[in-house]
Amino acid sequence: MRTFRKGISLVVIAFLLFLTFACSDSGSSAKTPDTTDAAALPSSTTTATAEANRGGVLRVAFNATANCLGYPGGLATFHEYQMVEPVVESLGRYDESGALIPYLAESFETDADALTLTIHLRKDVTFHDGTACDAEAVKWNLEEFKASGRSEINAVADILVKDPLTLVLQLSKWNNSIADAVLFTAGRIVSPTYFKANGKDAAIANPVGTGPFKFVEWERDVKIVYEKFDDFRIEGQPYLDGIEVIFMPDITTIISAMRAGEIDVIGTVNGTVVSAMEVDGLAPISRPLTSGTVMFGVMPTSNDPSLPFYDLKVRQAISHAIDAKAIAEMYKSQGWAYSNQWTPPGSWSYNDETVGYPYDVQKAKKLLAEAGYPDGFSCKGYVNSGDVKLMEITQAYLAEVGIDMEIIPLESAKENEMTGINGTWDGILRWAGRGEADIAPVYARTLTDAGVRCVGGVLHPKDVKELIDAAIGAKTFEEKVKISKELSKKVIDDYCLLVPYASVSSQFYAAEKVHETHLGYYHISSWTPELAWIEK
Amino acid sequence: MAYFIAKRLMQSVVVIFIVSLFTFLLAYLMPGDPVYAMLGGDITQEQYDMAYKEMNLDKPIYLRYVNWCADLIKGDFGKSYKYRMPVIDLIKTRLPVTMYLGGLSIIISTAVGILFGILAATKRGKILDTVITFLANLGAVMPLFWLAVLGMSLFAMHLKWLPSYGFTFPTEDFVKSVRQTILPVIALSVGAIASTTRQMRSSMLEVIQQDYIRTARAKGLKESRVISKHALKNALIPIVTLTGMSFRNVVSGSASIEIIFSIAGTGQLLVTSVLSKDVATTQACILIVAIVVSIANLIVDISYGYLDPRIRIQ
Repeated sequence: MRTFRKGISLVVIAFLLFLTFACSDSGSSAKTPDTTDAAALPSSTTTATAEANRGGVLRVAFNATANCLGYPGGLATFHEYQMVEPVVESLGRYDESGALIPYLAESFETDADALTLTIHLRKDVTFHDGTACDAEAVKWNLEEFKASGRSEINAVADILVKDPLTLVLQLSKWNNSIADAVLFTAGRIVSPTYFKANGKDAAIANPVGTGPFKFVEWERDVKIVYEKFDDFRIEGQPYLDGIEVIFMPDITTIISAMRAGEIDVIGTVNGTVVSAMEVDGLAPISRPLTSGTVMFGVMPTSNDPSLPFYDLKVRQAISHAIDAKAIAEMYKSQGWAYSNQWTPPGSWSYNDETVGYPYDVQKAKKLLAEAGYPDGFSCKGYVNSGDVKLMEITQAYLAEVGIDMEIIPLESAKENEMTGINGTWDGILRWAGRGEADIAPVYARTLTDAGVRCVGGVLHPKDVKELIDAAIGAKTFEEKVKISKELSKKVIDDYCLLVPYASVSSQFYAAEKVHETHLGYYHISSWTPELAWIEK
Repeated sequence: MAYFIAKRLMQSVVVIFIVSLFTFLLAYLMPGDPVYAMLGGDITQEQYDMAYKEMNLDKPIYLRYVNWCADLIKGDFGKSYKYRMPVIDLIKTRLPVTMYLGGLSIIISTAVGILFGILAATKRGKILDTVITFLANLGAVMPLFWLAVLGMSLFAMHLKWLPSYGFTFPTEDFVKSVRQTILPVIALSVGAIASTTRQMRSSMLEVIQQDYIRTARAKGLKESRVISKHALKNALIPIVTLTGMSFRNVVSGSASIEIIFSIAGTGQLLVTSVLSKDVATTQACILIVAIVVSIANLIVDISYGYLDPRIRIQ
């Protein structure tokens, strides 16, 4: 009997080992693609090929959920902006070079002397409920955006409907970023008729826009279903019959579904996805954006005299102690590009003359000693519980110079409270911010008293505020570029208000049969679903 | 019996009241401001103030509790600020999914567990007993999520026999429903089968050593009749307790399975609402768990009376 039991045990153990090996990735012989150059450009297929492959439903899986779809003032995350793009179009989009171009609008012009932004709309554009997308509808949308409490278009004092296809936005003072704010961020246009008839909650859950796809259903935490809008204003588009946005809370499920052919696109990419897709021979679809990215780094509390970080030398010391270039390199396969300033590399506001703080442990120790901390000190490091690894790397670097950082993981609600308008933190915060070429309005959201993000734990230097105002108020692009570059340098070299690690561009994976998906390809908060098609 | 049921019902009401109070307080004591949880961090003071008022956070906590209880009596669980819809509508769509999967799991695990337990007990010391006991021990220690991921990896990713995710009711599409249900139900059932098997084996072993079983055998009754007629009913009492307790797992404990297989049930809803500090939904989910467990316990107590008349008389 004892021998039999041993036999049974061996059989079961052997079976379990077999299962484990059979289900692991290590056995795959697929060639690992070379993704060292990061960008796999979208295939340059012709329209004729897309024409020949009309139809099909594109299934895009996200690890993130959406809380709002059809109320532009309530859109909060870049995923939400992407997810609603099939239905709700924006007045403007960004092109390959990062320049704002009219999209739902036909054209626009600004007048710095008259303090106006004039928007000309396209003719015969209708919402999916059959009502006209005219100047009155756009005016209502922009007013509703302001009424939601959002601050992006606060410079707009009044909106005049000049004729059914022309709006003139009167500004309270000149703001050269207003076109981006109005046409892109606030310019997602939904049907006022639907909103007025059904209310805000219904609008949030039932987006009614002018896009290439119509909203069908939103099964919360499961999927959003879109179907082709036959009367879309661009002849011949879209190519797909429909789109399904699928929510999967577990990354393993996303990988499994992709491998099993149950989904076509992975919209949320992390290290696990990258490793699995490399094994499968799939390269990420991405390119290093010069605007419309997410910036990552750490931000010490610089405005509290009771903390060591109040001393500029301590902030400079921690900057020198962390090898941000090596960290960015480590995450390169996830779309990271090293930046020594709060601006995506290659953008027009990126200042090559910014010296930054190259990795130098000896210099860091010297600065700490000069600041009165020759043996280092202890501090707290706050990070979202989903991103502890990055903080552990930071912790290891700081330990080299004697700084003992205790990592405190935070749930999103607590993190948002800490970085919100009335919050602060006492230590080093894992920081994430918008990475835009037009950086002055982004700085204004953190580095001034009127800011909304990480505003309570950082200094608001007077000369930085003056430069922000000057950059926003510049009347020529050349002047704006010059001031923005000066700003980029000052925030880092003069004040060391944050330790930037990298600019992170949008990245996704698509099955080989999927073409022109372009999820976040021109800006992290946008998508061009009308161009996507699936090879039959 | 009526008095007994009435008494147990009253106890359940008290339990539910206490749970409601703790749930309400705990939901507000969780770290993080509910306004930021709802709107994210990038908001203006104006947005914050509007949401704060909309969520009734400007009212004292005792008043919020009283209002919440008053609404509960009317069947109104409040409004989810994450989902922007009445919580009752969310529960209506999520609870049937969880109950369906959990119900199937309970039926399968109870039936298989009882069968395996009887076989192991009646063949004590034989090869069959050894195999069943070994597998039951293995099933009992195997983590639920690991089994789910392993099943998905093998049957969905490699063999492509079954889908990796999703849920469909059989009334909508029977074949799709069966295919989508197999992996989650197996993952949910294995642990319960193991527990039931072990409990049934132990209980049956105890019963078949009793004098009345020896008497039944001495009367010349067939072994199958001795087991089914005389031993089974008495051996089932601990299984009833175990099954009653597994209802709690059905409603709340299936979260990991629902998350892995992307199934929108109450388990996933509870986890999401806690993480996003959706107070009304968290309160409703926990209250639903309390109500289901109370009802299950009541049914268990009534079943005791049926299975063992001595309990009824007491």
